[in-house]
Amino acid sequence: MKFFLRLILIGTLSYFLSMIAPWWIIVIVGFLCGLLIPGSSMTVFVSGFLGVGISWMAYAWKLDAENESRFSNIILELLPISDSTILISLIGVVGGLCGGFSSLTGSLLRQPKPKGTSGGYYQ
Amino acid sequence: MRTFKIILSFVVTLALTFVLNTKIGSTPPLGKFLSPFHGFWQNAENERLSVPEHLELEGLQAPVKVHFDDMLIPHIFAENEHDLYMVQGYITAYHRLWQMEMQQFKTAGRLSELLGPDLLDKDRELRRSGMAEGARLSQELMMKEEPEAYANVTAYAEGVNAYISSLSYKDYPIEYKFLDYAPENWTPFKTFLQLKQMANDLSRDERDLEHTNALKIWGAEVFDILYPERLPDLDPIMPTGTKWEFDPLVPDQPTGTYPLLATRGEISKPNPQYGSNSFVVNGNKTANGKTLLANEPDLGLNLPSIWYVAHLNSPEVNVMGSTLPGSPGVVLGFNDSIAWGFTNAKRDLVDWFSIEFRNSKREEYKYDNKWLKTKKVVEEIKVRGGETFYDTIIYTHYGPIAYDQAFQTDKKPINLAMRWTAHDPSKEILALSLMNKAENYEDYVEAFSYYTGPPQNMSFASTTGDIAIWINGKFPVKWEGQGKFLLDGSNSTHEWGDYMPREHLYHVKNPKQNFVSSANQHPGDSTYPYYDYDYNWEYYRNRRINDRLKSMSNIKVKDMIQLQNDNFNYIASESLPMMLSSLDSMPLNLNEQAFYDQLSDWDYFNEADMTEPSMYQLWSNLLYKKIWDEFEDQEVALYTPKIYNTIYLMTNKPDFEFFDDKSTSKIESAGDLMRISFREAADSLAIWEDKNGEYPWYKFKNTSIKHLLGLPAFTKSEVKIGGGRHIVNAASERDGPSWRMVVELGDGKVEAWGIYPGSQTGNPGNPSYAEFVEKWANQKYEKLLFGKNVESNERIIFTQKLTPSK
Repeated sequence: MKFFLRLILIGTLSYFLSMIAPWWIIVIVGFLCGLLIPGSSMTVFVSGFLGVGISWMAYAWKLDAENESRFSNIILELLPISDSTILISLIGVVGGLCGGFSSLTGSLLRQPKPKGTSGGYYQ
Repeated sequence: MRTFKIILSFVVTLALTFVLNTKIGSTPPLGKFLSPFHGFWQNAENERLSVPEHLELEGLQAPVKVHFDDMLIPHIFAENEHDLYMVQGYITAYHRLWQMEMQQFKTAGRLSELLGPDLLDKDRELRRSGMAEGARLSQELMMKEEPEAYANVTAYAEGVNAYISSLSYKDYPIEYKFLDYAPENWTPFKTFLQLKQMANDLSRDERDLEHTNALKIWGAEVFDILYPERLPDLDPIMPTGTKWEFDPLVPDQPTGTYPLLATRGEISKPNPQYGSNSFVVNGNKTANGKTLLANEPDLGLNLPSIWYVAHLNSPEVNVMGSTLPGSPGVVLGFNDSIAWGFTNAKRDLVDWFSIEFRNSKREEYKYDNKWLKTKKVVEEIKVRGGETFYDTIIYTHYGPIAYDQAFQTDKKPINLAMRWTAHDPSKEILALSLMNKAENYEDYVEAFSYYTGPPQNMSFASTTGDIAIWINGKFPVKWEGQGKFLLDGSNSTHEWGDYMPREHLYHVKNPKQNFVSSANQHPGDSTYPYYDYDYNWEYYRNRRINDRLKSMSNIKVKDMIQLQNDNFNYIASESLPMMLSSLDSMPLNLNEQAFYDQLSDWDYFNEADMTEPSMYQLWSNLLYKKIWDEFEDQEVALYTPKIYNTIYLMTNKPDFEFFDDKSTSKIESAGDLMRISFREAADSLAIWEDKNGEYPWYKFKNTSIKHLLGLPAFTKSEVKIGGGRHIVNAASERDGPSWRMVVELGDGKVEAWGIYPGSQTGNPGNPSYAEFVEKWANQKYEKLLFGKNVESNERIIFTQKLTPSK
């Protein structure tokens, strides 16, 4: 359950804090959540990746839908990709990597000692 | 191991954040740029206009209302002039901030600071032409002598800054995000720079050094054939028979020779094709007895557009028209009583003086029998992603030494000082501010007495039926030939002396012909007592306009619009018959015969979807290139003769030595070149057609309204419009009618129509971006909403109320 808790917390905080803070707030959010909510490296990384990635993608998707993709189609002409779905996925990956690595760093700092290989996927 | 993991993960996180926050090459910082909360998504606007209904603005003295109409033109209603110009600055920045600032970077020679080392030479060029110093002097002069008009500039700056300080990264125009920088504070100085930028575009063009080179290569006799000052059949701005009722100042013509230094490199010139048309007809020629004024400046076609349309109202002024983002007030427009328009008054206003230094220290230079001191200024040019560059510029009393051992001379000991009227302090801001309030002819004459440059042919019309034109600006009195070639800086008789007194400048009020017009042609005939030289007069648009105006009567607004959009190709009408008849003796193949037949039936109109204009243009280009091929292998800077003179020579001197192709043993005449180029044109068009299909004129010409950064996604290409170079509808590839306006005045009423190839918004993410381009191309002018009370008009889509902050 910690996985979901962390994921939801990272996603929600990223979404709302990004409205008022610079873009790299996601790195701080990821780091703190990784630090506070324990888990294995893998699960922490995945929850950070998905948390930020989904929140960026969701907001991009919302803006794009409201704009009927008018502007993203113009921007696509400047990029080596041709489809706004790919663009939104790319945004998810960029945000996701920041969320993933920052929460991983937070979690590694917290872990008192290596847990070995035990422990299930969902902790 | 654990520590290692922590460090690794930490470093990866930091590095990732850093990379995504950094611009790499031309790729914007991806984290910032792609974040939907901050980056480009934030520039996507769903509504054409999204501003708050109420806004508190620090510095306002009283409430101001801004009514936006359906064209998104702001109608600013303020209770005093300070608030009026402050809100003009605020609203203009709302629509055009990035463009306003970018123009200043360009003029100040700071492009490499944003765009990197590639722009360094461009920056050095601009700094070496002394514009910033001219702007600084103008600012000082205005501050000291004209505090009231200067206050408009400071109020405007306050407004721009109020807008800038309301922004955070996510609100920046998209171009800031692309290039990854933040807007700077706006200063009054930048407004003065902006006006110098206009001088740079419109009054810096000349060919003095090229003339010197040509004189050196071919001698005086051939020079005069290549570059004659006057040819037959000119149609000057001043109606024939205009009397010059004054005693002119007569400069002393020195004896001796010019320095004949060959120059290879050269500072880039402003686009020589910039021009404009304006024509005014009085009540005797119109259908309803009112006066009509038409104006269109033909400048670079860019997005965001060079013009921003606004209506400014306060108890002191009620004026509307096109404004320059960055300057308070209206530049081209109308008020309740009068209307005015500009076309560029070309004239050689830049001269070059060869400087002889006493020694290699370059601290003193020769002037008659004396040695004068130089002043050295070190320009610091910041370079993005590179080292700061320091350029030492030496100033003489003429002006900056633009060309020297450090710049554009191949390290030869050549030192050329530049003298340009734009180096001098000037009061254009005052002139325009007075003109915005002018009520009659006398006010108009008075207002532009303060105008220095870039010199303009200023047409005028009033509700009382007066029409007029004055050619205003600061013009040195020159002796015959002065400044046409490189001058000798050590010889005081080569220096400029007096300036033409205002009342000696060309002007005419209510001429018998019932109209006035200007299109960058010669201003007067040869009886004018001053030497007024330029290398680049217009020979065609002026004649077409005057031909038409002479024959037109019962003129209505739509006729003025039609004349502005006239596509008659005067050049073709005067050269094609001769070119076609040169083919009489030549056997043609099928393809050539078809080409020939089509051109023989053509009526010389360059309509957008016709193919004949493309055929003619291609043939004509190839022919021109063949005639002047001698210029291609010269090592020094030169320019090829004008098309008008080329046609004159083909007609009157078909055996002129330049028509002979020296690489063949045969001696060619003009006719031979016409035949050879015809064959090439027919062949290459056939090949082109095979590959690309049809070649209608608009595709061949490819008029593009290009984004200032050249980004194709923000650019409108292949706009379907006819016309072209030297045609009244001057829509060429990259320049053309940048604002079209027709004003009707009479019975105490002023009505106006206008259109420009752009949009009020500069944001490519706004649904209204570039929305006027198609209307512009299709002659669909918009009626401009004007009056003292527009608030209740149905065309007002939104009203914003700005109040002083408590």
